[in-house]
Amino acid sequence: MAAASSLHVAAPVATPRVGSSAGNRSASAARGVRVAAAGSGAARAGGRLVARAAVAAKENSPASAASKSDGHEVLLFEALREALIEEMKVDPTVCVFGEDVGHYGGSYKVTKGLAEMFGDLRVLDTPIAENSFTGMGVGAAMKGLRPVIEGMNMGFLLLAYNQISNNCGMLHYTSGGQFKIPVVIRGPGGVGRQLGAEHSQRLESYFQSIPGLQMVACSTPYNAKGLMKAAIRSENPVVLFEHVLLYNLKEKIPDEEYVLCLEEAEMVRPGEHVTILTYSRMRYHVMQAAKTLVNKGYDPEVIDIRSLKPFDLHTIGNSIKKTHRVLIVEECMRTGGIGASLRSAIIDNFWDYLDAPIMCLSSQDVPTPYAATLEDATVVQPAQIVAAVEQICR
Amino acid sequence: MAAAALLRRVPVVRAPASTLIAARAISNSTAPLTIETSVPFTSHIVDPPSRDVTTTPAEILTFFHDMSVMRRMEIAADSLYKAKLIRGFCHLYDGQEAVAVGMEAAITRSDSIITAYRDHCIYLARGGDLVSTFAELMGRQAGCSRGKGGSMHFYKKDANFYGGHGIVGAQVPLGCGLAFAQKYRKEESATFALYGDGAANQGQLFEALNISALWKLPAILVCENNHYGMGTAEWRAAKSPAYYKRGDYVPGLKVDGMDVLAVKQACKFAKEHAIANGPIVLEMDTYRYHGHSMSDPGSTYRTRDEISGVRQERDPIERVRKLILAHDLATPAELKDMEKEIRKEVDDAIAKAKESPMPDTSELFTNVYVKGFGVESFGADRKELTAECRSGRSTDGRSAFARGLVVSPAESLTPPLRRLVQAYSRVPEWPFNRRPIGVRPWTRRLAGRVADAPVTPSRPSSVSCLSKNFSGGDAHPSSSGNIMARRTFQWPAMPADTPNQGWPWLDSALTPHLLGTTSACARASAWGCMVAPGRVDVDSVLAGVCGRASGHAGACGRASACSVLADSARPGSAPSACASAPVPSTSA
Repeated sequence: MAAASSLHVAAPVATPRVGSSAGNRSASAARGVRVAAAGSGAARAGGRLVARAAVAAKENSPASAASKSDGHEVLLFEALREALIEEMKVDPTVCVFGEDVGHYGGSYKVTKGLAEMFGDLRVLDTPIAENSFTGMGVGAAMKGLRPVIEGMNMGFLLLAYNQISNNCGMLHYTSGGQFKIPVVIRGPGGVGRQLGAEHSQRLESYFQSIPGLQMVACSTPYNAKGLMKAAIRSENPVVLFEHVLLYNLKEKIPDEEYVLCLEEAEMVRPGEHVTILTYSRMRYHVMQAAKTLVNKGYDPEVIDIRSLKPFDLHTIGNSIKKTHRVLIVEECMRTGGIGASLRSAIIDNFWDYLDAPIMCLSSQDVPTPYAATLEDATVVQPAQIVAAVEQICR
Repeated sequence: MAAAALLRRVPVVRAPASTLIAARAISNSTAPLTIETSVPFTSHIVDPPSRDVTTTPAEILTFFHDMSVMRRMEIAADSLYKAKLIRGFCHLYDGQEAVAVGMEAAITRSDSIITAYRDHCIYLARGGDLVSTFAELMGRQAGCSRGKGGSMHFYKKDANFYGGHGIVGAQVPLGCGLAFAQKYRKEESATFALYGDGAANQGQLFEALNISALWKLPAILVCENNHYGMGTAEWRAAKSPAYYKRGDYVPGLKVDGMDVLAVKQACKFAKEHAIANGPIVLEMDTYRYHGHSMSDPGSTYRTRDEISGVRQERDPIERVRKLILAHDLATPAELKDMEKEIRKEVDDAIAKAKESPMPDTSELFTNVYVKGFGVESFGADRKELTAECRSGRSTDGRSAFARGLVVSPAESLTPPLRRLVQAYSRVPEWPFNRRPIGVRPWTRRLAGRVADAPVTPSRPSSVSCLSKNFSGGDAHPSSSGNIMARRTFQWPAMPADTPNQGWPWLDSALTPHLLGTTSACARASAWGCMVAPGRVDVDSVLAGVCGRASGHAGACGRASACSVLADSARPGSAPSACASAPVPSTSA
């Protein structure tokens, strides 16, 4: 299916080489054994989990999707750029604000070449003044433009928090609906490769309670392009969370134009035993753990929630009703993070479907250390995911 | 007198509904009149404009009228606040009217104005009417922001008035963004971003000024220097109180803000400069008679003599009155009549605003998001969040299921209340109306006792449908024709013989969530009472016969909802599975 175009890099982020497309081709296509499509109730004969020889191949693994169209291979930052270019060509009110987005080409090359294409008035190099250029973006949006505001690193947007929270999120409401703020605030966040504490921040938890804001996190080139386009077209302010380590993911995406739904979650791997909810980089850790889990006989269902605010409780709920066990794996902080909110939302809505307490694996509540071993210990690693699933499914 | 070569705004009679109509025809002459400003302009790296301001008698009378309306409106707001009809923060502008009126005289409606929270008079100047002003202050529906903004959030989009902001300083980057949009769209107009002497120390002002100067945006930063930032005098807050000079590389002009003609001249000058050369800073030397807000008496940090001194010597309205009388544009009696009319107008507006109702509770959730292209946003779980506050408590569509509509134990379900509750009962919507896929063992064995029934929920017609349902497994409808993502996973088809043991109550019009209270077990969930269709009548359900169970087996050590359900076919009998639990009386 379209959303599951074959990923050529499978769960690379536990190892340093994210972008090496040649080396890490997944063997997922090689193991073509399909998950035995059991009837819905049969998986749990007698209430006990029956391990089955399920494989970590995707259920409807596309030999299908990408092959019917030509598609083209892109890296994730190129996919974002394609989305920006397409939207800027179609709508002249779309402009880009950010540090070094113009002549430098963008610190992660997302806006490379845009300044030459669209000129200095549409791709604007700002000074290092996040508070004010975010405010200017909001002001421009009030007057009908559609700025895409880039924070060079998500952590820098903390300087603009007042503008994002009070003006961006609230103006539509306090003006009684007179103004709409169709901005997109985007930037890379997350723990990278020893970037240090202040450059490894996850702001999903900070922004999630701002009313009026929508948050999405992209994880593959396919959904990066689709979500970026949807975010630009949306009339609401959208924060698009990218990840520093995912920019070099390569994937084949369709040639034709497509837009994804901002509030929808993505089913990465259907399964029967446990629902694993994740987003952004942790998706790859989860998929790596899924390989191990499948070898051990578990059949995890992996959902990339993508939409961090609002949660796609529809997809999540259907999954919980099937598996009755939930594990949340996120890179956000433990305290007050996305996982905490998601857990609470699941409990509110699906309590009766749960057979085990919801487990939530998140980053430790520490500033991200510089040392490599400590940094790895800050975020969730596949081994922890495997252990958690074993515990849940006991 | 030499007519200055400046664009002159010819006063036009505005729509009759507006309060700021042209003055009545005392002297509506449009013959030019040149008047000298009280003090010359002081400038910073720019040549100041001339002291001679060209105006017309009609315009001067308009000034008098408009400023009197503003003054009267603010005094009335003071009384309303003391009468507790206006709550929260109320920052009054009396004393500073000349800035609003003079600025408006110099510009057109295609120029933009943005300010902080002392915005009532600027809203009026931009064409707002008194009724919507007072209604917004009192939080009524007829307010300019539908009662949801309050004193600090007045906006008027069609007049390019951008508010109305609570966090001072933040509006200046917004204003520079407005100027950016004006430049982007090649409109020949400028933006006036107003702030006070307190906010002049915010860093984001200088950031925005830097960017505006770099990009040559038509932004005019106007510092309304009333010399006090709340309780802090300017000399205690600013090392350099020459606010017009603080742009450094950006030109600045200092203006007597109590002289409406000087303000007009300066704004005209600034607009031309900004459109041609980029940003400029204006400092309006003005004064506020009230304290910072209604909770500030205004006399702890300044003397009453100072306030009355300014009122005597520099009051903007008195200045214009003297001008009118000196040039014989009207008699004192006529001016008095005008003031009386204004007073009456304001009182009428207050009365009319008081008639407007408070916003409906459903307005709580409107305008949080905008409905837009194809990617509509919802609350959590894909439902639009709307509020129903029928029985005095607000519940949204989701929480009704999570918590149950809680009626306190002390209340008994009297027939009227029961009918009320019934009228507003609703069939649960997703996710609770979905046929369960997984079947849990303990419910399976009870399955046989439950009558199978069609899953289609029936809705009482009295309840409006508040949300859209997305059926599981379907593709998201694409509204634009673009390729939307399709779900990758299709649920396996339910075996045909699986009974509907998830939500048998769907088939009745009962709401499941009435029962939280009357149940002995406080854990009764929203869907705790599973009522077999046709077996249990409304009254016994409402009386809580089977109000105990929660779907979660073992939550209270008692049987699940289903087992209770099974026995409720015989109302009045204690369900055998729940013998240990007290059963509420079944008397209806």
